[in-house]
Amino acid sequence: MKKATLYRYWGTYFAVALGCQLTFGKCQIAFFAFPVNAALLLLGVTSLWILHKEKPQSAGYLVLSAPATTFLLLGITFVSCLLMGLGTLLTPDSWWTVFTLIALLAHLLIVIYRGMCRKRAHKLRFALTHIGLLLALGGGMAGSADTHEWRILVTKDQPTRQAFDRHGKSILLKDSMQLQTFDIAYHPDGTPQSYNAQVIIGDKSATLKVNHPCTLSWTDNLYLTDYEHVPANEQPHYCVLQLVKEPWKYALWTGIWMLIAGCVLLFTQGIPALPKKGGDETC
Amino acid sequence: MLTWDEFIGFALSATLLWVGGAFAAFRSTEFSKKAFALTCTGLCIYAAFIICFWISLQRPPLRTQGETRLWYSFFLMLCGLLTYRRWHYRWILPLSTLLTLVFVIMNLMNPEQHDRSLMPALQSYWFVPHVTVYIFAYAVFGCAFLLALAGVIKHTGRYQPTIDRLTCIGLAFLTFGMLSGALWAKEAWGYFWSWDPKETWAAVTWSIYLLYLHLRLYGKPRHQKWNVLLLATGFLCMQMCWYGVNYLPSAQNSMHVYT
Repeated sequence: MKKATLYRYWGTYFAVALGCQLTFGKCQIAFFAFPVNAALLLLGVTSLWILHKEKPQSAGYLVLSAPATTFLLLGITFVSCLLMGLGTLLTPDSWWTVFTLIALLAHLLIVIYRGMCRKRAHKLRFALTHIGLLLALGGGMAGSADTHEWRILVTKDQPTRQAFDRHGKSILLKDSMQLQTFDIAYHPDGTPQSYNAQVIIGDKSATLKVNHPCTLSWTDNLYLTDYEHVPANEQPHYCVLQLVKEPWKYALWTGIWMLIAGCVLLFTQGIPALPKKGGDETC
Repeated sequence: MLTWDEFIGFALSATLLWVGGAFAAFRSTEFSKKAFALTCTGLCIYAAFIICFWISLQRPPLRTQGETRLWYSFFLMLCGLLTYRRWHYRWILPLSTLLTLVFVIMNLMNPEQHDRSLMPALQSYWFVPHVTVYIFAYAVFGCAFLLALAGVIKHTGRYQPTIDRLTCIGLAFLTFGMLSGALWAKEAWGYFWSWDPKETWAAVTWSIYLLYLHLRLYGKPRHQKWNVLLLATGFLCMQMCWYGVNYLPSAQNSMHVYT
């Protein structure tokens, strides 16, 4: 495929991304909540597999599988992250970012299909790094619409079931929560050394501290985020808890550990070897 | 009890040995055992300070910028020495000594308050592996950049395979550092990734080295200057991610500001 053709395809794609960005502003992530995200993912995975199996000479496949696409998309990712890092208008929920991530995921999927069907050196490492990245990126992107966070003000006085999201909208929790005790230790300079809260959740008691969240269900985790700042000789009367619902965390978690395993292999095996070009398809 | 006041003694003696090692390596056309021994002794002295300081503080010395500079200078010299031991490039020890000296002098010129306090958020089993692996990756990238620079100065592509190997190692460590941070963030804040300024700059650094590696693997072998440009940009982004980000207005609300 000629580079000019490839750049024309990607030029059109990112022109549409820019158009959506300028027309609609931020992407309404909530629209892609389950089951829309799951259906779109399934559609993407299936259609790209069909493209890989049935139309490997089509322009779409050649554009998606070209090495130049890898360079282009990594370059665009670099520039997009740079713009975000410099604090410009580009945000993670902008249409530009969404389009870039979709292109990256589609390219990654085609590269995985092709790479797994070919004979190549260090195939396990290839699979771990690429599938791991796909799961982490895909799980993060698709899961963002289903991820929710609420804050709960828990006091010693009375139990509460009310939680608030970042827009101030409240919901009622299944179980009530009440602060039982709050222990805090200080460094000699007066800064907190450690603290933990004993909270009654429903009819059970749980200890919460920083870096040690409490698991409420397979999707929900409870975190201790803040407390009443009182003089060293007093005990806080309330603390603030954060409830995070993230059903896609297992995809991310799996992807991250696969990538870590891939990194260990990258370190021990050294520079990756080039795959053999063409004619080695096994599936 | 060892305090930061004793750093100057350790730093001076280690630096003298490193400079001696750099001279010995530069003057010799073959691998110099003298250079290796001098640099190794300097590293042992520096490591002794880090260990004693760790024991004295009763916490890992990884909290402040000065403490991370301490690790960076140690790892940079270690990477320089390992590269010299493996590939016998006589340029690498003088260059890594020079860059290490910059960070040692920065630490001497900017004395910080080093107390035993470690805020609760940093009391995690991820703290030591996350920070040390990151700093080690930075040191490996620093070494790769110095070699690329030496290649440009000497108009040679002889160092390219070594630069690629170092970048590969650096990327493996950087990725582990970033992912361990994501796992830690999930435990501490509830999210694997929240586009905090530090995380965004980590993604910037990661994507440029990933681009470099893919270009080297699947790109055309010409355009050596492009490779050097990418490594230089990566090196600058790495500096931004490490401490430059603290000077950005957006960093005021960053969850990574601990000191």
